[in-house]
Amino acid sequence: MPQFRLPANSRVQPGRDHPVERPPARPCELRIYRYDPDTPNAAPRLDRYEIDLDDCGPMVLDALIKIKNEIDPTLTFRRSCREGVCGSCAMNIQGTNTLACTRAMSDLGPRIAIYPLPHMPVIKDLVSDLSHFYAQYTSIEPWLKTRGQAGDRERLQSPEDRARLDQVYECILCACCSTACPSYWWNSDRYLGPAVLLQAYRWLVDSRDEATGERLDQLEDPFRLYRCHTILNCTNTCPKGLNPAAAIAEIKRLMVERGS
Amino acid sequence: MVETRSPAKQAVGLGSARRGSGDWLAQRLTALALVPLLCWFVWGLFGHLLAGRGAMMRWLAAPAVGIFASLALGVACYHAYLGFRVVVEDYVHAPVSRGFLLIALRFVFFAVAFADVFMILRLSLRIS
Repeated sequence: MPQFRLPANSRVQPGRDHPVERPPARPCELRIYRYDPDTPNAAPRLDRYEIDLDDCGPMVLDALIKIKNEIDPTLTFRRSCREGVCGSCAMNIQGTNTLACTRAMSDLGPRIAIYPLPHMPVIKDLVSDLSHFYAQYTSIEPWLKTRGQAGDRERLQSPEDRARLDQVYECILCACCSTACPSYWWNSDRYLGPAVLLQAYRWLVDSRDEATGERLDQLEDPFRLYRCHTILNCTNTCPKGLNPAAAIAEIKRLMVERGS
Repeated sequence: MVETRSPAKQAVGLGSARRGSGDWLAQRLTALALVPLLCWFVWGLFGHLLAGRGAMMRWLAAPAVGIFASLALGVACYHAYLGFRVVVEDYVHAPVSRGFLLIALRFVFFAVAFADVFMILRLSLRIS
């Protein structure tokens, strides 16, 4: 039977209020998804926190760190670089997957809703389980593959060939694009998703890589590649401004090119 | 239930099917072919229907019209089959239901295409 509702212990319930003691000069309300794995059968809840924007850094991650330090130390989230390089703080903010460290609160209005990345198993609060995503990334063998012995000098690349890697190599594997893709939601067990396909393309267009045919063989599959239906959520949501949909279209073009 | 298979095992699954680009290309080429074919077919069918059912039947029975009408309906069936297959693959996850539906789709669209061509052929032979 098709399932039209979430299981009872997955439906988000109203949570606790954490108001500030003094009236804030510039108030901002954050509604944050909370899930505690240590409480059996507990449904996730949406806790409400109030902060003063005059007393907080400008980014959403600043607010999360402030809440954890000053209001509720049980709030759990990943973060590391705080400058959009590591991809750790990827989450769903105001309905869009993005990095909390590069999303300014001033752009989001007085109420901000924060959820973990959609359609991924939640470990705790805003921390998703990305094991399958990383395993899919490993499955495309994301390293330079060559035939024969290594030469006695660097593998050269012309400036034009190097330029083909621009807008491709910058991906930080934050998983914002893959978890924004409805095709990945329905078929993530077999569909590689935009982030992994962008990385696959990164090695397909690398002029130094000598395993292009084998890489295309591994991708030629109705599910691994062809579940992409050009929905373009991936390109819309990428916090680094990359275009995974164009990379996927290029892989499909390469498939046709080698078959004709 | 505790998942005991490693993430790597789950990600690799049964491996690559080594097919898919042919169907993907066919879906796009049939879509392209259907633009002129269906415009011509619908325009001709309803244009002659305005002059009466007999006029429409005589138009459809002409050899050139019959060939292109069969082509239009055959290509439409193939395109619809590919499209429905994608829908089933996207949304039906139970292996038995998915397998049954994918086989049923082949039978249904082959039967519809065969019936279309047969009826046009029958009409052509009866009127000429």
